[in-house]
Amino acid sequence: MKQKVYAVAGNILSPLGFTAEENFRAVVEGRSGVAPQEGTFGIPEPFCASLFDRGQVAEYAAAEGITGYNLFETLLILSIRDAVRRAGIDAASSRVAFVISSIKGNVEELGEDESEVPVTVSAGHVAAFFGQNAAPLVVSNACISGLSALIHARRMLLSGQYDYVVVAGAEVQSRFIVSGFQSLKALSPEPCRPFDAERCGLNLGEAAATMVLARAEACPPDCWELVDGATRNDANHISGPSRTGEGSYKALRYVLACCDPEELAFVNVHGTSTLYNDEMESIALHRAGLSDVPLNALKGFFGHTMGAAGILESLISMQAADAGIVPGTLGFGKMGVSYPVNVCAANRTTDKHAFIKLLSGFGGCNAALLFRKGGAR
Amino acid sequence: MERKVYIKALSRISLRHPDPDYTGMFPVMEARRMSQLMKRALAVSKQALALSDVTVPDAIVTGTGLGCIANTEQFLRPLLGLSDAPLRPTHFMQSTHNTISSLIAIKLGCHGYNATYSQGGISFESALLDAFLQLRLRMVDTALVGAFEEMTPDYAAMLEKTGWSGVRTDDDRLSETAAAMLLTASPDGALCELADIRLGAEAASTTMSCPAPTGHLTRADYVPLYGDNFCVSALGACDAVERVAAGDCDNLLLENDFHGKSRSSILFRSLCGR
Repeated sequence: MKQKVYAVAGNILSPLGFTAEENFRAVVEGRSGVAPQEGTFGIPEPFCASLFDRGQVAEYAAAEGITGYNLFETLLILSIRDAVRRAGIDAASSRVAFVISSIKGNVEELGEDESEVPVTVSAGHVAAFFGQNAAPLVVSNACISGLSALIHARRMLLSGQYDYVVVAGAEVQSRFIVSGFQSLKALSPEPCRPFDAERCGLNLGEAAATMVLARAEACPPDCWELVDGATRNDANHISGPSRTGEGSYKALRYVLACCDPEELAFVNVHGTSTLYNDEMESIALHRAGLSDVPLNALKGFFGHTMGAAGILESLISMQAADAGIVPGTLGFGKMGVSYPVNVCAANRTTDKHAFIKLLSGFGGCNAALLFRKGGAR
Repeated sequence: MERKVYIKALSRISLRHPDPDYTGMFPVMEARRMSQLMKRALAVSKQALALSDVTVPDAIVTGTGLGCIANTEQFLRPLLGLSDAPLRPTHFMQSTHNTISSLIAIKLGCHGYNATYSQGGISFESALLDAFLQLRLRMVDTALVGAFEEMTPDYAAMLEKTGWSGVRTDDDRLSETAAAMLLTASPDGALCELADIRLGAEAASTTMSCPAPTGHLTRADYVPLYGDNFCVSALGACDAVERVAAGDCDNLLLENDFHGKSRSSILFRSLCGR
């Protein structure tokens, strides 16, 4: 019999809170971690971002007895530890695999302590903290890394080789990333406005997020199943999204084979608030016949948390659907994309038990993952 | 039912396999924006496809330890005050690890699965495992697996200072890799079967499906030939495929014990006498 993969526990660590629940509460209440930055990272131009209070993280880590790790590793360890405790699993077991998702890892340390650069090195430190002998799998697939990691973890479980997979993503912002997006003219000087007519770019964000996945013949009724996922490529441009939404549409079409659009509470889009991304997503959703399905974007709350985004935004979406809520899209006011899509400006209610998480990234990569509550079908 | 996986063709550029003539291979404007590694990646990818009569593969899976490290350094240098050059968006865009895999997709017009693994010394094996599983599980019928690594003077200096042991001798000199393999589910015209891949602690275990391989290749065999870098095991794998395809052995185990940091085993099986 075909096995099912589902989430048993999760954690979100962001400037809005250190648990999945705290972060979900912030979203429901419309609180944002995005704040104006001046002189941060020594960057002269002002920008907006959702950044950790370094002192607060250090204090929390010290209270938890976690010292001697850099910020990137500390965030991962704190996030994974909470999720693993909740899952009640033995993280050191050889039947447990670790998958780590990050885009830039410790890129800023290229100029400081170069031995720390490869994400694999940090990932190894993190896994060793949990007593893992095996090196964790590192997924670095631009902005879709979080969903790539979940999709891959699902397959690892279906292979039967593991009983649990701990999927964790983290991103620490730096001068490298901020200057990079500034050089592309992709950063908004103000809090971002996904899908809005006045949108003018994205905000970057810091976070770590973890999902512990398990496998069984049926998804337990209180858990969310990762029904199926796909990554598809635009094959169009190295950094700009496709004008026809090709890859995103193809990824959506793949997961829609497993569900009826009527079943969907919402599509949680990438919604970075750049002109091109949001426009592209509206085209892809329209082509996939999802124009009427409510959509929302979470970048207004967290900024673009890059390697953490796929996991973080999926965890918020699960909690929202559990609470019967379609979260509003903070920053959205007036429709600003050419194809009609059903953007939720404010929180709405829903009685549906499935959603699609969508992401796109550099290299024209796109990913879609379908989640369904156990026993919903 | 799970299928078997075959290697249909391969192509590589290494210390012993020189660069082709890139003149006219790419439009001039595009070539200006492409690093040497990108040109190599496209060249070996195209050749592996041409040798296997596949125009567009179902999946492109790439392994790279450092990604486009040269572009990353070029963007980082002005930031650190080591250069007065302006920040160029091209360098930032091309600094993500999946740049190469994406570029191959663009050039081939491949909308299928596209993923990049940055897994240190077993980046290539991680990519190969992904493609292997997807072929076995019937998710794709063809997959282009690549391994691409460049080395910069700064990174080499760093590795010598803090990293690997024994890289200062001539035999273990730091080098670069560009290798591509086309995997299929059909044995027709294939070079060999890709029988099994194991990573990490499992690499040394008896779970490998062949307890007594007749052929054997390790880093001690291929590093003296090709130098050392995160993806050099892909060049070892190319040699392994060629040996098995030539009928040297019924099956061959390729072992990669990467500086004591990570391990992998790949089992290749001959199609001779099938």
